[in-house]
Amino acid sequence: MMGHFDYLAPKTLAEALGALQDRGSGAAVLAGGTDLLVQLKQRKRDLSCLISVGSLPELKGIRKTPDGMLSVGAATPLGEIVSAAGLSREAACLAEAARKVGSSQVRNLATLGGNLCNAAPSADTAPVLLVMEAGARIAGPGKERVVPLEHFFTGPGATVLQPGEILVAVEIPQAPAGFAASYIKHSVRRAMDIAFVGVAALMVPGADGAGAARVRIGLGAVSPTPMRARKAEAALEGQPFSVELAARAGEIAATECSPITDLRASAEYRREMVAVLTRRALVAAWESAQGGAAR
Amino acid sequence: MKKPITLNVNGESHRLEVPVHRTLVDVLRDDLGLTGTKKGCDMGECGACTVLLDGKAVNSCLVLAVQADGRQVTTIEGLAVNGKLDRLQETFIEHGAIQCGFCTPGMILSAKALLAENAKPTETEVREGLAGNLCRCTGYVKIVEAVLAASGSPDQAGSPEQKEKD
Repeated sequence: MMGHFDYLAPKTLAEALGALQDRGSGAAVLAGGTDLLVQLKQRKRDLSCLISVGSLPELKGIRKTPDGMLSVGAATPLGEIVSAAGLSREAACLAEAARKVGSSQVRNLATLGGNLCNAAPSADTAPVLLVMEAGARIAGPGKERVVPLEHFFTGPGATVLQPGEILVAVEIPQAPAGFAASYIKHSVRRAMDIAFVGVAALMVPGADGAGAARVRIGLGAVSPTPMRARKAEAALEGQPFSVELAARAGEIAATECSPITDLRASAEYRREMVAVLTRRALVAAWESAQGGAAR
Repeated sequence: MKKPITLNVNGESHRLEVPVHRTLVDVLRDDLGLTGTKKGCDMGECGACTVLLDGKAVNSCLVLAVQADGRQVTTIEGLAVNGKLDRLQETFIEHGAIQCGFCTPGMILSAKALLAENAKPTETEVREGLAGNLCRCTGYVKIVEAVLAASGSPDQAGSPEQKEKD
């Protein structure tokens, strides 16, 4: 049973921003509700007003912009993102991560913006968006700004969103030609579970075909925020690719992260798994990129 | 705070005034008397409260009734047409895919949404489609068989009669 609160369903983004400002600190944005309503039922949050953004046209849908960017409305349900995998290769990468969240019932409600604004270090869509160098388009009173997703998270459950601001869209730039990406979620159960480690890798093969010109590695659930493993990336770039090199990059990634021990896994186990899963994600992305080149 | 809403449930329109903090599952069960929708965990984990909202399976414990204003809701009571059971309801009975029955309405509605999107799923796709519906009795084998049988998918393990002969 939830406590009492007001409920507003504004028709436009401007109206929603106005309501958020009027209602002050007791108000929160309601998107899919799969996290927020549970927090309210468990009395982990006490709010005086929910402002529903689920039907704001400015926050809905997935579209390609003229400059090749993929713009995903923050209130787009994850299920719709899974269904839109065919839109582009970037969309397919995001869909692969989105389909690992919860159940089909949860994905039909839960939104991409909610997954990011809830800011769980384990959010499944975060590592893959980090390796695609996505941006978060944020609307506030009278202005909009775009924050690189790498700087969006500030701690567990915390983001750069200021009071009165709403995440509007996630913008994914067109990835370099020939890229391939992978995401590995490690959890006890294959569905309805939270990752104890998530690893995304993106590789762009170099002109000589022997190694990767660009490498990006995104880690989830092993630091206070989803993070890039930049030292591991640097160890691979421009070098001839091999499984041994991928394994070395995995070892480096394991030293870059700062996992904690909680009910799901110990810090030591998580660190081991970062090494193993980074290697696997890199090999998977590399093989996928080679397959793409051969076609 | 209360709000007037119109809920379209199983093809019937209901005008209601609901407290905004009430969830769809509570309004369906307590206000409309549609107790076929079960309330299990109330946290979106067990899937017993699954209904179709505009054709998509959702946990009705994670939807405020006011969020369903003007939308189409299908509950287990809405599947049979003129007393004739839906194909999924029939195959659940034929395959003995029911023990205590608590998870059954949610299972069938998740399966209904799955088959609407993917008419001939593989066994793996059925298991993925039902991942958000917990059953503590059956071990899922007969449920998966029943869904495959309703789909006529090539993956189906055959009718129960055939199995007994094998």
